[in-house]
Amino acid sequence: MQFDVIVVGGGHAGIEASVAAARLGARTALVLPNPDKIGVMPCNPAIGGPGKSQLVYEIVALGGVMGRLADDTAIHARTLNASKGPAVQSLRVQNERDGYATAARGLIEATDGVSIVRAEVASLTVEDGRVAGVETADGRSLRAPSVVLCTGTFLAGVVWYGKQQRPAGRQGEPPARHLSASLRATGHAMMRFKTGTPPRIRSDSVDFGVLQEVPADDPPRSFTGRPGPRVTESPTWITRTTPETHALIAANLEASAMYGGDIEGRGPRYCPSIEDKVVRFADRDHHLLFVEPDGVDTSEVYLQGFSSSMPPILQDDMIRTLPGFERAVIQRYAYAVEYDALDPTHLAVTLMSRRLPGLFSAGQINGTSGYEEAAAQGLVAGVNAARHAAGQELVTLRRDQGYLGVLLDDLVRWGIDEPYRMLTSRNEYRLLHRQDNAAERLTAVGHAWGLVDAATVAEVEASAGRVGREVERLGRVRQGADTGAKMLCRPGADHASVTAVVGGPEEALSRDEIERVETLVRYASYIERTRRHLEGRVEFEGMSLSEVDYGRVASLSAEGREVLLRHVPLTLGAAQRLRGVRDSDVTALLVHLKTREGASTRAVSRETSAG
Amino acid sequence: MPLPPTGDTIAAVATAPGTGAVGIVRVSGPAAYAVADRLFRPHRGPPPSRRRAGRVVFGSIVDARHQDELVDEALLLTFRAPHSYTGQDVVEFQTHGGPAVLRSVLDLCLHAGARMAGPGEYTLRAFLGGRIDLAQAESVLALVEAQSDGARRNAALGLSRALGERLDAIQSDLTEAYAALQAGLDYPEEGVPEAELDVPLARALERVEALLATAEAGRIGVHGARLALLGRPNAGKSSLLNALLGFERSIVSDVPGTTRDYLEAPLALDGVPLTAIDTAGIRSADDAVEASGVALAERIADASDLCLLLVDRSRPLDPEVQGLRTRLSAARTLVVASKADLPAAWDEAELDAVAVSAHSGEGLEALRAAIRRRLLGDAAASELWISNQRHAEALVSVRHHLQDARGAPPDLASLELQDALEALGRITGRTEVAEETLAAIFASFCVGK
Repeated sequence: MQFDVIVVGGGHAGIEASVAAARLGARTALVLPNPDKIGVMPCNPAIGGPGKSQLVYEIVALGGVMGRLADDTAIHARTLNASKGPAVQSLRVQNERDGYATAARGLIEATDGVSIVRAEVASLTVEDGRVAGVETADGRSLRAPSVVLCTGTFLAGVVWYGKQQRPAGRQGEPPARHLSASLRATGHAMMRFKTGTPPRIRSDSVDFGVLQEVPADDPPRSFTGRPGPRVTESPTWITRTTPETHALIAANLEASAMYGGDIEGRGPRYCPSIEDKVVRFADRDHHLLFVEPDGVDTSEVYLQGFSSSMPPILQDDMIRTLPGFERAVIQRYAYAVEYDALDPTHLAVTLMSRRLPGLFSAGQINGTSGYEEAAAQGLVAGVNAARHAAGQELVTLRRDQGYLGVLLDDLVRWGIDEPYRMLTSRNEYRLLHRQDNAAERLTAVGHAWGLVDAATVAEVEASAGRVGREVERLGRVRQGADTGAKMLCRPGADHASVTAVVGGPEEALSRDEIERVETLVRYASYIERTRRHLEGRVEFEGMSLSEVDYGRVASLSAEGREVLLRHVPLTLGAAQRLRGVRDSDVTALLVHLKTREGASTRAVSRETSAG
Repeated sequence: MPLPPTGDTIAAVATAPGTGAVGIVRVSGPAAYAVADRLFRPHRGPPPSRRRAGRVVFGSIVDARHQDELVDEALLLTFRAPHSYTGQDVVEFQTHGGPAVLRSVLDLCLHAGARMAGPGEYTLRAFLGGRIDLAQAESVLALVEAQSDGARRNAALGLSRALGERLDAIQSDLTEAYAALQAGLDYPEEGVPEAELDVPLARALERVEALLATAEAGRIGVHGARLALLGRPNAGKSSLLNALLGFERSIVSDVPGTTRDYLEAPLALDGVPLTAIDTAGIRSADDAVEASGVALAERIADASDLCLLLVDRSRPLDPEVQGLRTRLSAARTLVVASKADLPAAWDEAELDAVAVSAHSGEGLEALRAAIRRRLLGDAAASELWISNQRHAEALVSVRHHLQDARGAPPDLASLELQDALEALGRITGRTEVAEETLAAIFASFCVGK
């Protein structure tokens, strides 16, 4: 069977990749063993949070689907860091777990150009040093010039319950057994990572009456501007560990797969198991746990913060030391999973392999963690897979353009030694990369990629225009010696209180627009400072190194030259962030570029005068 | 290590430390004129931004945060892009104040929105702005290379262990505060205690101030200080100078020329190199206390690190001498009651003066000790000398960001701390702020699901 793009895996990366590729006109195959597993949420049933919600807003702006799926199936939404400043405000929604998967599968099936192929991929087909398709475990050949791997934790996956292990990509699902070998054979180094999940508890065995309730925001916010129908319908809850929990864990540590030394893979620091927490923070008498529902009328709750690799029999006892869980019954036990991940430094910033043209990868296979990080990469990989198949130039996002750019740059530049989760602290420009201005920043990019229509672009521009005019007006109108802007900067003032004094704008502004005005006015000097800082860097981001022969650049340090040859950065901006490249190397490259530019200008002018 | 951005506005002291009586602070970038408007008040005419470029303007440098309090009188030179050294808008403040004044001016520039320039940044901008031709490019390269090698050597060897420990203490205070702040922002729900910034910030600021306080001593220890002797012609300046010089009398020399109508004599005081300036030879105003001589005396005083104002104790106190004393900076003036071997006409305690006789040698040791204490302060006893001007400037930058971080909302405070850590990294060579912060977050806070 001949396709333009083959996407392997139907998780959050695979969904974005296949929908994006198909919407760009590529004949797309979505290959996975069980179509019922499209869009499942194997970890907690929630989307967003600090650093992650910004990614989702960016995905929406670029024309991806995660925001829509999350909003449509939301049962609870809350703005985190609401009082801590616009740079770090983040939306987090709880989702109906089954509803999300159903909606995702419905979306795939409704997307023209995506064919679902039920199969396990066994190997890559390579011809003339390029990808030409995949072979399935049952012997079929699927052909395409672009293949996107979105295999999550399935590559050589091993699941651990206590010291018991079995090959599995996820609870109850077989792993991808053969693909790692194919990747190694084509020159890709693999890493071994691990992660864990907490147990799921039967709802009717939990005493919700004693738990602290966290209500949903009302009115709710949303990723797309259109909140789903049930978004205020469910609370979430908080419980905590007790000294009895800690004592029980401490007494049984050797039964844990991770502490027993059975698991080799590296786990993420930001996702510690409950065993980790008890050992490393022995002075704490409790840890908070979050009780997240799987739906409005769910039979199961998820116990966030209680990841464990203890044997099931101990998990039963551990759970029952938690307030509200004295009689709790575990429906699905916590487990740890170990899996193969590709070393992302093999990737270009387009997410195409630098070892094997036509091969793309996105999500946990690249060493990241999180649905949002996976979806963001899936979108870029899907767009580029379609472009590669069509013979078009590949696209990417720069670090200065948003969280997605930071994610790509961090991955391919530094490489990683633990699963990578997005955090606001990874983004030095977070004051510019807010969730409130993601549309303004990236809708035009999504349009250029072909995923966003002109009407949406016009809408975003009109809204930005209204906001800009109001900011400008507030800087102009006065009450006595003070401008409206100055009044807005006073503690306790807001747009309503200021316009009550200086008069309102001529055109009506939405609630979101008013908040953007307030942010832009209050943070004007900081935004300006960050922007200038960034503009200085952008200059280097625009200087292409594509035709530079490093062997001919004078004065490069030996280490710098080696690093540059290994990473092949596209621009001077990317080069200067590489570890091992010195200031003097960057200057040498600059001199080289300028000299070459000067030489070619002189050559042209000589020709002109000769003619 | 990334190159610095080139599109923002930078400021730096442009004169070499310990030299010359005129100090220059240069500002380059799109906000150069905004900076000038904020801190420079021309004595006549419109603010800097509304003037034609390429002119010299006389005026005052003021601190706009404190009701335009006067910092120094200065000349302002203005250049418009692309007709400047860097190709950008450039303003230069020329003051005759000493290094402490220059640092205040620099500090004001930072508060007005400029960023501290790193090594070679002006040259880099000049190169990128096309102000240096291709033939010069190679030498730019060599320069930057030398500087970054120098910086590496500095990081490896240049910092004394004691200084390194102080800087590490500041760095760990800031990393800890930043990590606490960031943990709360990235894990808002997980019961991370509200970041307690007041204490670590106050402690870090105190440490930065303490190091900066030694900067003056460090500079003097390495580059020497200028010591001016003022007073009426008959107050005994030359005798005192000769007494201080002791056996080194033979190296007294007359500095010829039309621009320096005074005597300069190199002098070592317990190992601290000094240049003594004896105004005895002033031709235009024999008597520095007379009205016509006061301005000159003040100028010489301003260009010196310390002034010895000599007052003859054997004669009744002269109100004009008193007048001059009040016009000189008290911190940088030491009153000497001279001719202490003669009967006293007044009590030196009245002027908080040191009684000295050049003739008998009485009080000379006390004077030497007083000079040393004034110049070196407490640092005289320690070795914590920030002798490197760049280090001092980086610390000024750190101080500036820490002051702004105090009381700021969490997201802005974290930006300031990020910048403070970056500035500190310019001394310590530890620049991977993000990774160190993450390590601190996960080591100190139990966060994550």
